[in-house]
Amino acid sequence: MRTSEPRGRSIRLMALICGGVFVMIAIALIAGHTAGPNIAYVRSNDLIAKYAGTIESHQVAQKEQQKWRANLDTLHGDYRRAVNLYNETYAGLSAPERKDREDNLSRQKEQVTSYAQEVERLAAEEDEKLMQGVLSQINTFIAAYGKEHGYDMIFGTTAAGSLLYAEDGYDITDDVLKSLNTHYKTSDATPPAKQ
Amino acid sequence: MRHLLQNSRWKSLAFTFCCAVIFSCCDNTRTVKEYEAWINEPEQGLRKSRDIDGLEITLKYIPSELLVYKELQQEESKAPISKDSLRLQYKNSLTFLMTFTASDTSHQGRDVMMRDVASQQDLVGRMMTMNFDLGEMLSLSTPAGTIRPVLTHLEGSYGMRRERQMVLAFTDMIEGKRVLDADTIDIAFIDKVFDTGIHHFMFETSDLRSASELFPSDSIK
Repeated sequence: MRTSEPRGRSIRLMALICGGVFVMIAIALIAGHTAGPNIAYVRSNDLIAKYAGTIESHQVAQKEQQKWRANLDTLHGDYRRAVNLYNETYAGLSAPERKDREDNLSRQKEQVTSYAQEVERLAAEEDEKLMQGVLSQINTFIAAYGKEHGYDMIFGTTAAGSLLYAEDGYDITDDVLKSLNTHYKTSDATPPAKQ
Repeated sequence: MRHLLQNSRWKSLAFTFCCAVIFSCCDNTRTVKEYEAWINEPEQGLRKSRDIDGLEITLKYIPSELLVYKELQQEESKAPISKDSLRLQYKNSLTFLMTFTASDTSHQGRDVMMRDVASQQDLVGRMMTMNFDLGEMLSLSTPAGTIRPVLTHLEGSYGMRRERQMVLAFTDMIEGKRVLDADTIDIAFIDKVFDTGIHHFMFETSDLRSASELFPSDSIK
């Protein structure tokens, strides 16, 4: 008779604990359903500008464009020298010689202009291609980051105003940028998991 | 006396069993096939990959011992070739296998070469770039400096496969310093083939060194 009282007490205690756990699980499930989607946003322009991939892409593009611009400078130099020589010898030239030299100078100038236009076109094309790659990298990373961190949606703010207002707490730009830059240099296949 | 004899027999059996268990646990010998599977394990640090917008770019280190083994296998039916001369040939280089795979199969034709291709001219241009210009898009850097690959070779240009593979070979010296003496090496790829930006593949040189040490050397006859 003496032993049955503590046993009954422990059964009651167990039932109480189980009941508590059940209630907590139910609350968590209801809260999960009613909490709504997990949303955040990033400042797109800041993210793109401060991404290590963007900075390096600009450096690579500039290096390449320097080579083309050096060629252009050489062509400009040749043309200026030819014009100076023509001016210096102008008085001693006959009319047909002057015409011949002027035609040559005109052709040379056309070549310089067309090369300059080609350089501008190639530079713009190169920039566009590299930026396309940068944006692909950022978009792929954010999709993986969102999945890894349990976000339902990640918005990107732009100057055009796709997102007009959100509390600062929803801004994850700094965290995303930090992970993105780490990922860029470490070549891990997926973004780091949530701490 | 009989009991003692029986007891000692049991002891020797138990000892043999323990030895067998210990040796089987410590045995590092593996077949070349197992070794190749081991290289592909992500935790070994010999294979690095990037997945950008449905395109997977993988860079895998191929130890020179494995290259020698493969070449000997191929050469078996042809004229005999000395394994020592092959070892010498591969000794002073670092070889990597670069693979482009269409991880997103929704892309046109599923073949990675057809990814975002608008015309036949685009496709021909891509083939030309991969065959002749890839070396200019790649570099290997250590604190000692930066080098370009001495060899790039596109494999299976006309194969009906989803992926394309490139063999890249770098010299093992930069400015008189051994590449494997650095702690890490950074292989950068400026992708002008699929326009997916710049990619860095960082390798720990300790991983590369251990890969060579763990090659089942007795498989090279």
